[in-house]
Amino acid sequence: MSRELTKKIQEIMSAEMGHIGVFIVSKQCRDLGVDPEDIEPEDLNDLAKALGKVMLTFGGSEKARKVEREIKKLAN
Amino acid sequence: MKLIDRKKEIEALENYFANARDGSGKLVLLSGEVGVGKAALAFELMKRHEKDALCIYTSVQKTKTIPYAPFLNNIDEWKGYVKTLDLPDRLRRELFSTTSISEFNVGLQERVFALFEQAFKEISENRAMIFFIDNIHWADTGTLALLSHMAESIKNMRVLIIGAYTSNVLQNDKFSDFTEFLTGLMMKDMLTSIHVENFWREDVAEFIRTFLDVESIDNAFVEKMQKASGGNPLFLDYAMDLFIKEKVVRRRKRLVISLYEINIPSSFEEIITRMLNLLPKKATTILRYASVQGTTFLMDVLKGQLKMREEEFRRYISLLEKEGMIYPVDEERYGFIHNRARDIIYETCVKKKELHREIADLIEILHEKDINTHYLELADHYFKAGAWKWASRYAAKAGDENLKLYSLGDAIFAYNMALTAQKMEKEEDTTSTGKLLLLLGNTYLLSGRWEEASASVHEAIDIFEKEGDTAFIINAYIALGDIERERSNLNEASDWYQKAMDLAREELDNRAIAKAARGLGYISWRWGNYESALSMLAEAEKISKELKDPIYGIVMVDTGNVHSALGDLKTPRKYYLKGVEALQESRNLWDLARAYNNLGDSYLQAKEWDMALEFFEKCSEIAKKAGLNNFFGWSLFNSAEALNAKGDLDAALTYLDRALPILEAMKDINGLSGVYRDYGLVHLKNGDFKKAETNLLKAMKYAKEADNTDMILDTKTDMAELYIKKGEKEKAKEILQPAMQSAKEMDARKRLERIEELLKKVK
Repeated sequence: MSRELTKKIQEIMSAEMGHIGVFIVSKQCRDLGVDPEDIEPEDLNDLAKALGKVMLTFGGSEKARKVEREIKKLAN
Repeated sequence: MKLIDRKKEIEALENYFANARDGSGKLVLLSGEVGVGKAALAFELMKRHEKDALCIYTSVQKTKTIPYAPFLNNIDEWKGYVKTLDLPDRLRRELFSTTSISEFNVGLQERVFALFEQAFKEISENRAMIFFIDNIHWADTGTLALLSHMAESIKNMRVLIIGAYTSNVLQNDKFSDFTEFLTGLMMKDMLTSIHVENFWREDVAEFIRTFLDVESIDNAFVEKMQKASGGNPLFLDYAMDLFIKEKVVRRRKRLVISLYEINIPSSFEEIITRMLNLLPKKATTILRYASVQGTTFLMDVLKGQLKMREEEFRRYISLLEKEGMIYPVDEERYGFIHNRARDIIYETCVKKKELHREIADLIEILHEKDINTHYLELADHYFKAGAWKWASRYAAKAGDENLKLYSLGDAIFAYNMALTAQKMEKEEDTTSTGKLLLLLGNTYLLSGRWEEASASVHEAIDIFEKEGDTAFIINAYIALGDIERERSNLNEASDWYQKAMDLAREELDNRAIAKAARGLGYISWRWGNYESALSMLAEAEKISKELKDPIYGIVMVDTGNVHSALGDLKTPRKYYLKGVEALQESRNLWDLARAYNNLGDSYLQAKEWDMALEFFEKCSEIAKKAGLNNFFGWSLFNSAEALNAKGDLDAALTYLDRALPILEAMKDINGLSGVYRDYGLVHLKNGDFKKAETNLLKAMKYAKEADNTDMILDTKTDMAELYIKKGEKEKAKEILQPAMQSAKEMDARKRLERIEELLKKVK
């Protein structure tokens, strides 16, 4: 399950950012103390916020909201 | 533009400035969509501190000018604040000497960075500084590299650098230099940004009240303006300005006419169209002609098209400047203040084809002396005019110029344009198409786009074979060998090099013999046949030395690699340094990056971590500047190995996280084996044996796929070390004994020493 979550989050980010998206997922995970290879459902909320914030910097508010929404949806 | 309700943002900037004034300088980025008021924020901060800080404003132009232009534009404003009086002149000398500015100069960057660093240090000793650069998303790679460098350098200076950029333009430009710049800052935990949002309804009301200088405003009007603008301050600013020009509203009055009679524009396009209708006809004609040139336009060309009297022309230009439509870019050019305005005006133009042709012809006549700086512009205008032959000719020249500068993305764009134009031409010159395809293939190869490289070169070979052009066929075979070599398809690479060698010997083409021998030598090294590698490389060295062929530098690096594989620590460095010297001279950045990477690797072997990091950093800088993605990835994971050895595991992981997606995207299996090996080593060090094993196994899988004997041996030895640490000595022994045999067969002395050390532990 956890590896599956990593893959899905990487897919969401790389759809917006290309290969840099994958790096951003790892970087935010490590900053939050989450193992990027082992993302758990309970990590999703914080991670969605963190990645949304980064996306704001890289792609503007619309993209940021989209990324945050899509990652939070993975918890369901 | 008025600064409305930006308390939170201005407070954040004030805090950053207060810290900077106390000696903790920083680079802060302002992001947000076009017209949201990023610059207004920075200007407000500068206004507040004009007495206690030196405030410098500069802006990046969309049209490429000279590298580092944003930093250079304002030397006169700060030169009075530096102690070293000749410093500004030294900077100018470095940057404006014709050779250094137009061609890639390896040492230039270091000298320029050091001079700017010194300048900022001296200024900050004198007084605090706010340095604001607008539109940094358009900056050239040099400026971005300098900004990254300065972000680190100003940490202990009284300097606040503010960079503003439009965040929504990045969406369409996933691999741009700017995105890479942001990522680089993030890697070093130096990415500080403030995102500026559009206005809420209350802000719109306050904006309109402030604009009109009134105390209250009709709610319904605010509502409509909010709806039309989406809260975008630029839209509001332009719309209010339009209403004043249309005499619908007046300052210090509320609405002059009834709210229901106001025709609120529904789009930015409508605002511009209505503004154009208010201008004199000749002024709109000027704008239309200018828009065909682009977002910036050459004044002499524009004048040549309009055939207007000088005085009249100047008058209308001043009017348009006053109306906020255009601005002077430099001595030659003006530009549209807003690109969207230019696009809207361009759409209204008729007879565009004729106008593009006229512009191209005028540029050729008026800019004969500096025509090389206009190649792409000319190609673009001739292309849009349907003059395919000329479009192709200039696009190819633009490709060559960009390739020379290692601006690979631009070179690929130009060559593709040349090919498209050539195919549109009724009587296509096939030889010339073949040559262009070969050039394009080699440029794709440099960018690490191997599949596209292979497709282009194969297409070129088809043409050359039909034409029977042997010299080009040999070169194309060598190019295919290089492509397959980079893809780690060593058998295929060897076949192509051999085919090239056979044909070259038949044709007595010595240069081609040297190139093919070098290719075959490289493959032998990768296969662990060091004797054969040294013999092929010696042949390449002899010929290239005699012919003074630039391949000599490459051969030196390859020879160093063989000696390194043989376990020698010092001899490889001698070869690498010889290689560096020759490669700098021939401006071969690809192999120069490789030489620095390998020098770093030789220090890794010697356990001199800081030296290793220094050379990997050099490799990374060149790779980034020249767009060599593979070397950028390699320098990252090699740096990770040094950082891991130094005990900085977190930094090592960050570097590996960054390298992995780059090399995955390129399908660089050799690089991937290196990345996973380093992940394994980091986890081995932090005691996570399960992860160490998983990653080392992945490394082994890729190393086998790449047929990389050195890497297979190294990873096997790492696995053995892992099992020893886990207490599984038998497993370790099972690996080490055959590994020792392989090392002996390959005569890999250094590797053999390590295996013997480990074997002692399992006995």
